[in-house]
Amino acid sequence: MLVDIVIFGTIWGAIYTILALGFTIIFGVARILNLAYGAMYLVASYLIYTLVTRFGLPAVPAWLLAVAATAVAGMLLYRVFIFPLRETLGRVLIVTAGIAIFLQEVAVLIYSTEPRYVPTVLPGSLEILGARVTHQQLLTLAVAVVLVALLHLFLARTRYGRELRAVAQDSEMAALMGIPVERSYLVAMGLSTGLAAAAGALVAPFLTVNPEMGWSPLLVAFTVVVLGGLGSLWGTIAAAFIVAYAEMLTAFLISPQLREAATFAIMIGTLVFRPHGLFGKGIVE
Amino acid sequence: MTRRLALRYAGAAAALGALALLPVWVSNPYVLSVLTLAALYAIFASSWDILSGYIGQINFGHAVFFGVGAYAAGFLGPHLPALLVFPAGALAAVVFAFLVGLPCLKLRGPYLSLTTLVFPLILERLAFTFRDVTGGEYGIRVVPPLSGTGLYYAALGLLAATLAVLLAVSESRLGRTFRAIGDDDLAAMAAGVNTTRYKLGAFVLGAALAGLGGVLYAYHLRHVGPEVFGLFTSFSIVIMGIVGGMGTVLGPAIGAYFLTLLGESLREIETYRLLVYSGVMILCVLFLPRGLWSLGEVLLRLARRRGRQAAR
Amino acid sequence: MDRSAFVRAAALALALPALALGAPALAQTGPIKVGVIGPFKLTPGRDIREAATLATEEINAAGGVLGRKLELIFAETEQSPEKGKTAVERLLFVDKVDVIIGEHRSEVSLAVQPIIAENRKIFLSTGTASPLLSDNVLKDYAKYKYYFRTFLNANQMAEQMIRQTSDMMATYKKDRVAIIAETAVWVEPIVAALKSTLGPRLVALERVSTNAKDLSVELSRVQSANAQIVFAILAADAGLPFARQWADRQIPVLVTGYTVMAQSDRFWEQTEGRAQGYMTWKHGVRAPISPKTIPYWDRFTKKYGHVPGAYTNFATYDGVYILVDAIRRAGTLDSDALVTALEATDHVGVSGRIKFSKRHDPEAGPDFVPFTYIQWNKGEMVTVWPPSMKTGEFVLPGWLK
Repeated sequence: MLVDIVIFGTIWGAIYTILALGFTIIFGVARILNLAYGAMYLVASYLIYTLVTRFGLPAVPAWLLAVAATAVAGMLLYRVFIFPLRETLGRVLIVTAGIAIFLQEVAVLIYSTEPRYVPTVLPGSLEILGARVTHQQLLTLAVAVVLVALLHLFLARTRYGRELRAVAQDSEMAALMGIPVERSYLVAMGLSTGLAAAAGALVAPFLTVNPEMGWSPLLVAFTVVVLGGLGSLWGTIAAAFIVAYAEMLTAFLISPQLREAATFAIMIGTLVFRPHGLFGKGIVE
Repeated sequence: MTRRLALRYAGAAAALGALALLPVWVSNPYVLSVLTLAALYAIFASSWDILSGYIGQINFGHAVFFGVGAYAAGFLGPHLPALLVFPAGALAAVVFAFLVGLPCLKLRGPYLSLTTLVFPLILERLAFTFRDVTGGEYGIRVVPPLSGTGLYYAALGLLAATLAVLLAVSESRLGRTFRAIGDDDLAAMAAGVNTTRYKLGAFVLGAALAGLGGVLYAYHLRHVGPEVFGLFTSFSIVIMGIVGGMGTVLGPAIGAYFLTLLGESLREIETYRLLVYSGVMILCVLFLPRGLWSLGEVLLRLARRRGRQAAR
Repeated sequence: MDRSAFVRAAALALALPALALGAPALAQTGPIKVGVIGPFKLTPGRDIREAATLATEEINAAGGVLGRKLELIFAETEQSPEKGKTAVERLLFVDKVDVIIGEHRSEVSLAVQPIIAENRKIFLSTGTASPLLSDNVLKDYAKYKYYFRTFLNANQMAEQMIRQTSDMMATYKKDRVAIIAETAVWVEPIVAALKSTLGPRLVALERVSTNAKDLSVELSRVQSANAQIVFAILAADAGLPFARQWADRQIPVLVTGYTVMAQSDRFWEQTEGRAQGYMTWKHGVRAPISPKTIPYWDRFTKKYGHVPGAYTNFATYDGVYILVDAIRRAGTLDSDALVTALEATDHVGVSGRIKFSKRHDPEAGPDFVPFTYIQWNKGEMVTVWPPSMKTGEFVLPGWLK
């Protein structure tokens, strides 16, 4: 059982890292709390389902297409709904909430509330130290690691990445230095939704695809950000793994039903007792 | 009293009067039932507006307060005389206002909103888990001391009281302070306002009213179950408030009536209820910042312009 | 801007009475109106709708009832007691139906039962397992006698499930059982009954929340306890990931119990064949339960392009016929007369032989409404229990051979 906790904890930690990173990017760069973040995760999962099941596309192209399409959708979303409202963060919040609900209902309309399955890419499993781990789960872990590495390279080495970091630090200064701030926002949005989509794509084969799946990724991402603070990549990764292991420990040792409760407890507990988070800059100023 | 305030009082009174007289002409229990539901949602949306419309902190977890009031009616109904159940429901809701408010107080704006989303989910899960106490998903059957027309009038009465509170808040110094905090809470703090106390106050006031409404809701449905804590309920209230017009006293109530009646008449086209609601809300946020209320303003301005042109 | 409040208030006051005008007049010689409630966007609701429609078409084609046609009026309840209440009120006061049938969720049925009872209309449940519904018939007969159910209640289900599990344990010589059950009220009597019957042979008891999507932890714990049989009660979505993980991780247990997702004809593709050996109770199978069963199954499949899915299907089809049979015998639509006629029901339908007990629930058992189990084998649902109704042999999952 301990082996199970470690293995599952690691896999979920990787997924939560991706979710949290996507969330912090738009948050840190544009100060937008995107309540439709979970909806992007949902859109990507349904896209994969549709591409694979209704159009017969093989898994890998379907994944790439779904993530790319969702990232584009995210950028469009920004341009059409968020950009006109960006003066008032409250209205941005509401419109993104509205979009999240709307997309959920569209999913119900098209696919009904019944869960859908996404086929696994790598069937089969192997034994690690007495626990059976599916190949799919290992693939998930590998892809997540690669994504985080790519993200880090993007932010550190590319021009767009450097601009993003400048804007995140101080958008006025960045504008004065000639950095096209609006373009950075757009890029951040695309990255953010792309990461949410990637997380959705990775999780879909071993859970189910259903219209309500958008809310827990949103809450988990928020919890990780609250715990870890903004601005530190390693801080976010650490917080993501803390949350994941806490969930697994609660699930295995106390009760699987309390798994979500563990996440909520971390969120509320951090807000009450250590609002500045553990590392980096807290979201409470 | 300013002319504008008097007109507002008169407008609200006229609308309520019309609704109060309705049972004289309409005796169909179905219609009365739908109107009672609309009145209850108007109470929830209006009480929500106190925090969200004035102080500007969008609360996605308002369902907690009326859900707790409803469960109070379920648990205490058989044990307490009817008149005591109401204050019990309000008290329970106020307790939760503190439980929810305290962690959220250190937060502002969007962070507060996202955190408030969590509480109804927790309560929903608790209601399911402690099945022996809460009846789990079956809920609790409630034997109401009021029903039919009696309940309709009780709901209207509470709605009138809620609107009166909103009017009082809006026109008083309290309201101005709320709005100042809503506009720029850092400036308010710099000016010496204890924003934490005011935010908590808004939570508590909104919760108490919602708790009372929750008791009536339990009486109306004759049942209370975990679905009162569902995301659907929370979001419906937010949407009603926004579509009607936040911070406009009558706006959320109008939004509640409009959307509840719309929802029932959409029954024919099956239920795309939340789809339509959220679509309407997105359009409102983009084009009608103060909801249906501002629609009225826009029309009035057009009418005045038409009038001026005719006068030339 | 305050004038607009006036305008709006006036418009509201004028528009609302228009709702009342939607009420059609009560017809004395027109069709017999049957209100059908349920969550039609879900499979159990869809089965209610389709089975009721097929039954109605057949009855009308054969001349109707008492010279009148049957007309179905559907009202969506969306699994919500609040919507259920307005749905039922609309049926009763606007559409003025003569009887109400259907509904899959117990919490909705419990919320609407008193309203229908107070208006003295027959409410024929063709779904929902809560014993509380029929408890009310015993506790307050005068008020609740109008309630009938064509489907077993949770206590009856518990009894039958224990019988099957004990049978399975004896036949395959297994004595370590784990339960993985949703935390739902209707499950409680089943879990309680199993606990007391199994005693120390129950090695693990996992409760799962109804919106759980991932049961990997539960499976790990069950495996650590060295269970040999898992009794699963999964009425919500968890059935799909459960089956997939069970097979992928090759958990060495036989599965029985009640997994709703496994009752769907899409389960095999959804699990990409991992369902091989997966067993579940299924009410409504293509087996000779009565001479009417297989012909109905085939007619239904031909008409709708998919097999009967949820338990509500057979229950609703039989429900409509039982209702019509009672109306014919009573010769009237008067509810009290219908109650007497319904209580005298002895109908052989597709679910078996239906006779109502004092609780207005059907009698259960191989001579009445049998409790059938299917097992997935090479893409097909094979009826494997009770032995008198089986259409094939039980198989072990691949990795347990």
